[in-house]
Amino acid sequence: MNGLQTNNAPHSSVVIPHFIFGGLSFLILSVLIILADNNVLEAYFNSKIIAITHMAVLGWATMIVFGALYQLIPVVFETSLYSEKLAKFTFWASALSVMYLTYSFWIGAFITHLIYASACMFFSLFLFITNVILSYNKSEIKNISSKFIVASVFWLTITELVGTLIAFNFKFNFFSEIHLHYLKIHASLGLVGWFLLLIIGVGSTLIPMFLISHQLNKNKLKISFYLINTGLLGVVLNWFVFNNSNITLLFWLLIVAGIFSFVSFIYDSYKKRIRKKLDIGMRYTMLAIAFILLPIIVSLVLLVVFNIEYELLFRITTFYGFSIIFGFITTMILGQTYKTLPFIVWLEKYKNLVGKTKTPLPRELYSENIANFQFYFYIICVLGLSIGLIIKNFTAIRIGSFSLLIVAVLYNVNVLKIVFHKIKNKENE
Amino acid sequence: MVVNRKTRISTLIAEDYTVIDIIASINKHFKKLKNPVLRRVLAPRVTIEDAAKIGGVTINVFLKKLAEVGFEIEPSELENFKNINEEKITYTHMNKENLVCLDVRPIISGGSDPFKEIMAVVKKLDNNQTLEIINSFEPIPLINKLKRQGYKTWTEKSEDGIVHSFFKRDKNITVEKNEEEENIIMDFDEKYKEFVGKLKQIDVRHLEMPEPMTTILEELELLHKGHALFVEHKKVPQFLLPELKSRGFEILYNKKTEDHLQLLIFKA
Repeated sequence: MNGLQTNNAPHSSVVIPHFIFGGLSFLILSVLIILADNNVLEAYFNSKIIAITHMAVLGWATMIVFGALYQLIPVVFETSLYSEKLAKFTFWASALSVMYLTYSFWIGAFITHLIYASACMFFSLFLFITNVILSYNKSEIKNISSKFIVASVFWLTITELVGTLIAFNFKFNFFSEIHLHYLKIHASLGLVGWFLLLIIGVGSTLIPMFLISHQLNKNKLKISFYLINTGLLGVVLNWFVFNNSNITLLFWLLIVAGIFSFVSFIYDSYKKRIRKKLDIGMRYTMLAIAFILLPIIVSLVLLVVFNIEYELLFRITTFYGFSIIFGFITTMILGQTYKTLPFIVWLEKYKNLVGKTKTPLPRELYSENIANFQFYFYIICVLGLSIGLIIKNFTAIRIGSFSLLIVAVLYNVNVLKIVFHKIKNKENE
Repeated sequence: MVVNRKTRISTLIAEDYTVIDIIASINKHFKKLKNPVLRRVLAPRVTIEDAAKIGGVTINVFLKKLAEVGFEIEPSELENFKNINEEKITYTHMNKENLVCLDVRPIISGGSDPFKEIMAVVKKLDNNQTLEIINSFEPIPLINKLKRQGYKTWTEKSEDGIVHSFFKRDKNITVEKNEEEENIIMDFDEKYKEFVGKLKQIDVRHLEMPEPMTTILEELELLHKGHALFVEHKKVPQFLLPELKSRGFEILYNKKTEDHLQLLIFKA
């Protein structure tokens, strides 16, 4: 044989629980936003918003990312996952840690529960990181997509380290600067280092695959890789050492240039696509790519406009986080769920039947109508929450947060429909 | 379908059978395509780029002809092709002592593929000997293959349209590819040879996931006994492999570029 390993795909029992838990977290998240109510418009270092943020980035986004990445490691690294057992254990450890961590923030138990919760979270994420790095070591493929993934995992480690230190500092007080300073570093590392790089890494493989476009200029990705990583390293070092706003702006420019290089790669892929009509999953995905512009603009405002009054600054900062977590990350995940999860389940249920009998397509595993409604409510949600945050309007925020609840319910209905799909043999119908 | 210089002639024929007449109309060199034996031998191994070289025309001319009959030309081709054909083969007249001559025209007109015989002669060749292949066209696939194995090659065309191709082991060229990789290519090529005439060709690069997988599995169910499936694919189909194994198929691959892979699938 020619060194083609034949069994790289992980068992679906490794992957699917992540999607179920991620979906539930999304639902809980939408309920928490409704419960937090007017807290959303208060200072951004309040416990409710921090709880919501961690539920969003860890319980929802990171959990789905874990599941999707386990499935994609064979595609990107061309090798199997280092350990499926470790992945299953990591799932339970992470799920419990996220719940505990969110609870600790929600009730504001900063000096009691939080250090234990953050230690658990650190440990769980560390297990995941180990599994990815050991898989990468086995791999002979060292292409640009896999470099993005490895870099993102590195930044996740640093994010976690800073996060855990912040949590410990509540009790032991060893930091020289105010918390907000470290929180800014923690958030930037997590959002840009972990999520953005990971999404670029995975997206640069998946998006051209789903759009079916060939012969793309991979150099754009390489440029993007070096610019974003250099920029992020510069920003973070500067924050730790000099804290000079001009230097920050300089490295910010590098990151933005890197992002544009990636966007330009995706734009080429979009232009060259063979499949002209975008399905629901790809509509979300393209919307997410367009949404990258929003946090870039908002972060520029935060960097260059100095004399903003505090109250407005807080709202803009919250809006900045919102624009990345919802505008970009959540939109991307909602879309990619419709591309990957049906395929994973379909593969599991129909692989033995393909070619022998007529099998349904993966997209027939979910309701297209529900997915479409979900899309429209999602647009309302993003608009409502954005307007509410910018002009400080509670009605808009309520419209947004209730739309989000509807989105979460519809999403869960479709996810469960896919996961519990019963094998249909079309010939017997 | 969208074509570029790397598209195989066989892929064109699979898409539209009448393309044979179109290509044959470019110039007399391509009349050979009308001969089913030659077509079977050459079409799967020759890309548009190779074919243009064989016919002594530019890729541009070839692509224009294809565009006339409705093939879509990849936009990048239209800008890039200029430089390619300029590197004409230089007739380095080397000493032709110790010439081993093999005229393959009778083998081809006899209806079989001379590849095995050529390779048998190549194996016996020592470092001082030069192999001369006499043929009615430039054997691009053979030239590419032997170049990879560290042979110097040059071609001379005599006026009567007969092509003399020379191959000599070059002591200065060390074979760069590591042994394992070379083995893969050999293995793939050899298996491929075995199945010539018993091949079903498909291209799944334009299909959306999971259609490449379903198409391949459907084709395999229809495959005649002793035949093989030849697939043009974008990447190693990770999720298909376990299923192929459990259905008792072997799979060999030949990596053309970063996102072009050829698979040969057959019953173990």
